[in-house]
Amino acid sequence: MRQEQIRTVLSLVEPHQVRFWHDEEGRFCAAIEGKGEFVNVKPVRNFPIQARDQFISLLDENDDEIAILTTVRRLDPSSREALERELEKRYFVPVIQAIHHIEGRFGITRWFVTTDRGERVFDVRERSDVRYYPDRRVIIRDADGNLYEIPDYERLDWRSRILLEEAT
Amino acid sequence: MASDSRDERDPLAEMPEPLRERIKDIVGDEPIVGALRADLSLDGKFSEQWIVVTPKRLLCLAPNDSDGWRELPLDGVDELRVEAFVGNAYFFARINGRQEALARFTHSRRQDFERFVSAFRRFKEGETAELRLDGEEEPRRRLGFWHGQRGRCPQCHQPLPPWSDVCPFCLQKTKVLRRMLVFVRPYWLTAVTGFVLLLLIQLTDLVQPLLMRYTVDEALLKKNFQQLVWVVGAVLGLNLVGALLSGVRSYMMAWLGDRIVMDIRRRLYEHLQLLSLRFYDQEQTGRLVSRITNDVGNIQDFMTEGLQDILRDFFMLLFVGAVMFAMNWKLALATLLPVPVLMFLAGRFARRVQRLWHMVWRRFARIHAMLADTIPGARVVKAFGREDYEVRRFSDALESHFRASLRAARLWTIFFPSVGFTTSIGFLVVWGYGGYLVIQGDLSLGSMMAFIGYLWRFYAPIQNLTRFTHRLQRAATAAERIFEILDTPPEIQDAPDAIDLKEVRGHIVFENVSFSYDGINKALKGVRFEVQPGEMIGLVGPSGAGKTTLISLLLRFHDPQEGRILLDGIDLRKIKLASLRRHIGVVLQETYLFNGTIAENIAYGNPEAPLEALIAAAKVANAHEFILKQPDAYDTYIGERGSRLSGGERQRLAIARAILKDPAVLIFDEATSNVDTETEAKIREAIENLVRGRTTIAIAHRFSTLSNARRLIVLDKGEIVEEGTPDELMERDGLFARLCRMQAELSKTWAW
Repeated sequence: MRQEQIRTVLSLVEPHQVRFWHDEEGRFCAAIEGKGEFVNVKPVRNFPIQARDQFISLLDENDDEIAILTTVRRLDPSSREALERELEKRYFVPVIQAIHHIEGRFGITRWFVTTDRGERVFDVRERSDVRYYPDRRVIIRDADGNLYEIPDYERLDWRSRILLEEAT
Repeated sequence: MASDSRDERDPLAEMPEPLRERIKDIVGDEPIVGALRADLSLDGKFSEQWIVVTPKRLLCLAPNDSDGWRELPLDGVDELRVEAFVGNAYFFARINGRQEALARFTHSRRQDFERFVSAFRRFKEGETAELRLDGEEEPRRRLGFWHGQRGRCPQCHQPLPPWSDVCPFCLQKTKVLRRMLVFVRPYWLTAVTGFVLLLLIQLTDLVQPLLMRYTVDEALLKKNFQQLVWVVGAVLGLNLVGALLSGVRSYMMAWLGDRIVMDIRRRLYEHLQLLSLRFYDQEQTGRLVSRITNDVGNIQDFMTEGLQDILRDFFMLLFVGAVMFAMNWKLALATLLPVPVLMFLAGRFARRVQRLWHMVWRRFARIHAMLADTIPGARVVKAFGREDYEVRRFSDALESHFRASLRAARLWTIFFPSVGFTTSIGFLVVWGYGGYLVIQGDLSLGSMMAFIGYLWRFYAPIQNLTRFTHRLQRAATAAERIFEILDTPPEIQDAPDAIDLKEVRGHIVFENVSFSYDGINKALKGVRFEVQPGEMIGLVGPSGAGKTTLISLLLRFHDPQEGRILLDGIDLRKIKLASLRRHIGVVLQETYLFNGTIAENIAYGNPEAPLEALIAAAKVANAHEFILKQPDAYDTYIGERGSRLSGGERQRLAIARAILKDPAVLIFDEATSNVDTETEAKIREAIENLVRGRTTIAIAHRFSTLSNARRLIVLDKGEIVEEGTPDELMERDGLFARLCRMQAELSKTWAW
């Protein structure tokens, strides 16, 4: 598609056209140039894995899209802080720093790990819940639907890497 | 203190002791309604937080925060709410008009909070007189039963496998090995005969060192030629008998093995046909194929040769051990020296090797899956010029299989030489110590030579038995995977009192039907409507509205969680599946044709139909004409998935198939594929012929097709939003009118 076609299909907004903040009740608000002010805005990443800081859809209370923010970089600092705080809330994906032990039978495995959010034990229902992405990134979905990330499995310690490899 | 009664269970049972004490201090003699455990702190760290509910207030506290706690009086709380995000969820309270986050947790803890929120809402709306949490067991179990995908076993709390409702941790107590023997049982006589023959063959071999001793001591040392001839003759005879017997036995075992493999494959395939569609959605086809082919092969090896070899080796160990001890117990004891080392090596390596084998197998299955995926899609790969990409992807998979195999190989290269070296120590012992005993005169030269002969036959079974750990493990993993399928009960089964419907009028009622694939998001919400016999209704709605789900429920690919569906006044769950599906015909969006002839494909639902019925059906479906143009007419071979036919042709064959089946109820999912106007007219005519006089539920994408439908049902987000004739709906100017205008707009754009 050509650039101008894309522009007509998507309502893209640039960082300088938006402002974000949390109101006193903690609701996430946005002011978008040419569209007005919105309360209870939901930011949704279009590419949560391959480009987490780009193309953030902003949805209103009825889940209708108001606009798509092209990038969080170059937002003014307080807006960026507010957006990132909101995104942190909506995307809880602990980063696995070390795998201590994996045990399992019948294809269901229990993982004992250390993450950037603390120690955690979780169950993985099937092997295809451990997904490999380009650049050696791994995303694991546990039996309850929680997500864990390994940004680059080659940077794990040797033991964790062996465990990961044997489990997948 | 500890109450055994399930109804009166202590809500604080899971709470750490110090925290429980603190709570007792805070609440005093106020009763405790429930306690909710959150597993995240508000700033997103894994840590425990508790919300304790009493009839008057909510207490929020954390075990590692020794005195901090806060309380909220319940009258001040207007609303409680759980909001789910990616990987975590929040528990919000609206207190005097202000919203506040009380707790944060992962999805593992979410259910408890959801349950509390709805209990609170019922209490607030006056539905329940007092605030209480429902019994713990029930909702959890129901969730697991309906939605294998999210369920956990109600007993052991392990997650259930994605396609199954049965917990393998609780169910599979019997040893895999014992279960494998079930497949041998019908042929036990052959198996036992084979084993007896095996023992006889071994015996012909085992007496030879004894004959050797006799030769040395009685013939050679005493220079008795006649004895020598006698012994040589005996050995010749033994070997001849051994060779004959092993020939017979090999043939018997080959027969047994192939027979068992055939049985298992057939059982597997039969069972696969029973399993619900969800199973097929979850499993990669390549993996399933590999289970039916490779895994069964691995089991064959084990059940015919492997098992008997183990028994034989065990028997040999006993026999040889006894003979050696009888000849000279001191020397025999000395030869046992390397045995503990051998056992240690085997034990140490077995587990690791099993894991590695499993890994190699999975890598191989991935290669399989990839082939099954891309080879049928070769056309797309070429059309988009992604050959290089696919080659790279495939070689990555090969590479990882190679690396896994290498790791397994590396382990073996350590294992075998260590075992070899250890056994050589045993021979040295017999040479050294045995030679010493001979020189001392405590042992005859013949006995020492017999010892060396036996040592061979002593260490070999030990080595074999250690190697069997791998053979056995491989067979056991293969068997585990096969039983995994065989143990998966079909999700949809005939009720014991299900009835066989002979005649169907085609009266359909949906009574307040709700359905969810994942237990959280409802694909259908309280859908109710009625279709009179012979009536045609159209289902309309944007994609994702639940049209296909509704049809899968009618076909009973799934059962609804709430409400029921009646055919001629009978609940679908009370009708035998086979008879239900006999009376329902389907023309699906994806016309799936099998590799075969046109005639076979039309007759797929009715293999006994007379040939003239085939022609008639094709004629009504407007397919006859093009079929005759094929070189072999009805006997034309159409290739895999009908690849030699055009889209319009395939569709008309599918219609012919449905017409031939002559069902009372017809489900029609119109294809979106664009065909030329003439073909479209032909298809339209075929459809009109098809629906005449049948109860028809049609999903239409082009609204022009719906001109026959007197009544339309408009679905949106799983709910019926509008219902009526096309004209009525246009007049109402709702969703249907909007969809129609959009389509008109589109066809204008495409027209030029």
